[in-house]
Amino acid sequence: MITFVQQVINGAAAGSVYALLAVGYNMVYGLLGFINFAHGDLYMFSTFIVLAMVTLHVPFWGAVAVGMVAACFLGMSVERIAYRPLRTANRIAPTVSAVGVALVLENAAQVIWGPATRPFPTPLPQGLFRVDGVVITAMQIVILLTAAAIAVALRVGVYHTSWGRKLRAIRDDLPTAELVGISVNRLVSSVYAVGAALGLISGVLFAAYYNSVYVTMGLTGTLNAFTAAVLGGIGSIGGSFAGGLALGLLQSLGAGYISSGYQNTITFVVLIVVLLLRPNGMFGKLTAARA
Amino acid sequence: MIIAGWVVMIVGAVVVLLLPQVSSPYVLFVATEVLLYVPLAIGQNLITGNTGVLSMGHAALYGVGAYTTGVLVSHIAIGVPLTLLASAGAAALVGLGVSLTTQRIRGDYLFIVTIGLNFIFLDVVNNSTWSGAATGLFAIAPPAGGLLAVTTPARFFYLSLGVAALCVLISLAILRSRFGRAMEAVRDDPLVAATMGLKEVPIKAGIFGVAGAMAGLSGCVLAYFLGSVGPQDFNSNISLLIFEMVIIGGLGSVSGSVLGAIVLIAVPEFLRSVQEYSLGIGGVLIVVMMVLRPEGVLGSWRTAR
Repeated sequence: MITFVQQVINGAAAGSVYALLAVGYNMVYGLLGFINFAHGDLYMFSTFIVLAMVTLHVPFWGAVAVGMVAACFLGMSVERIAYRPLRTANRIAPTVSAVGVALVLENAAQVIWGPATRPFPTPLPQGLFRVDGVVITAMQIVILLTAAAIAVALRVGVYHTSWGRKLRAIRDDLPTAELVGISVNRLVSSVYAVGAALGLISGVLFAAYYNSVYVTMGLTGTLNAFTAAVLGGIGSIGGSFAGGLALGLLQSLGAGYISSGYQNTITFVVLIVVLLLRPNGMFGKLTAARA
Repeated sequence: MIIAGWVVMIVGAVVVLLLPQVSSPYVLFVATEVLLYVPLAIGQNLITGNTGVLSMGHAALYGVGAYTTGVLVSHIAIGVPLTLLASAGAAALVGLGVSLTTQRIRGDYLFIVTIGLNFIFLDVVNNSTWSGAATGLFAIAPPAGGLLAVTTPARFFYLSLGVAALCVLISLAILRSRFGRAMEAVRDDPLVAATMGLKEVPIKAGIFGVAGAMAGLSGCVLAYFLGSVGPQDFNSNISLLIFEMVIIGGLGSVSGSVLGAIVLIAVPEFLRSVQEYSLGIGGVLIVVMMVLRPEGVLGSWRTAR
């Protein structure tokens, strides 16, 4: 029982990180129906920027601020250069273009910071508590609280502000939204900025939780975020959080009870089964197939 | 114009056939490597370029072929032709199985699922004893005598050339056939294709089977060529590389696939100084390609939008 509770707590913390990553992903998908395959690499790259700032003795929160500005800038530039020209192209083109962006970011990070895993020094609390034999780290609490706060903020942002209303208008009908005077390009750009910023927060939490930053966390981040988004339902913000948590729990229980060598297999088998049974995700709305 | 084309082709064929006699062992090694990737790029192109299925797990099919050879060679002494057939068959079955199990999953979803299949393949070979776990299988040697005894670098080159040429011909034949037109109809408009009585599921499964068989052939030759197989030869970076070849060469173009294999294997190999940046240069090329010329350098895919 103690093992079970322990795995659940570990899984919930890891899952919250996935959730924050999945939200950025999901907002773009919900809005434009397009997989931002470079989302994970953006999060990796901007987390490295934070690390580089910290190494240059910039105070931690200053480094996070710089990282966040850089993430927003990167997110918006990538959208402008590689995705916007393809908004009306066939379905394959933007996805492939995003793969190209992911490769560029991965290669750049490799050249600048090297392929080794780097430790991530942080002033975030590192203590731990024991409750009846179950270990809870302060980082896990920080992660869960941050994720919850961001979930609430996003809910308010999307459903109770004019920004959110415009976003939902674009999602429902892009040409009409444009006709009624919504500046679609600016709004889409802002979504990439918000997504990248959330990715940065998730990257910093990930790096602080596991005390490591490495280049390949980009691809695994993309895959985990996508799986979480699909589990929860593409396009649904609440679903991203549910999916992220579900994925975290599955991976940690799978590693604890089945085998840690099959972590990826567990993730993808679950993804395939969910897609076969519920092609729109666990909480997804039924929409016309996007072939 | 047509005569000029034939002259170029004949001169090219003579140069390729004489390569083992005139080139250094290193150049021959790189040329063999390029040829090993030709069937992979062609198979990927049949799937993505001609049938319009986004898939990025080709290294898993490649690996199934290579591991089939590795396991067979260490257990029973059968000649090269039978091993080639068995590897192609095994990879074709896996390809078919993948396509049939995932038939309800489409578009971007299938893209991620196929990336996942590559990870599942790696988990399996990394955690099994028959595959030698993380260290892989060693001492995969072809028998000295018999048909297709591949014992010298030159013979490896000719075997790879034969396999690559076979795959080019099969691919051209498929694309000129009724089946090839059916594939492209399914790609261009699934709904219209279905109204015309074309069955999407068997078409896609068939093409995954063919592409699997091609990858299996390459995997078999690779296992003999390296004398060993290991998980690192079939990770998602290899899938990505194969995917890149097709994008850069041109979706739907057979000659483009060959060009893609040459560009992405030979250029980084001979220009060591750019090797560190090859991944990123490939990425830039992909973005430029998609934005300016989605049909690729030699692509024919102009109409589908």
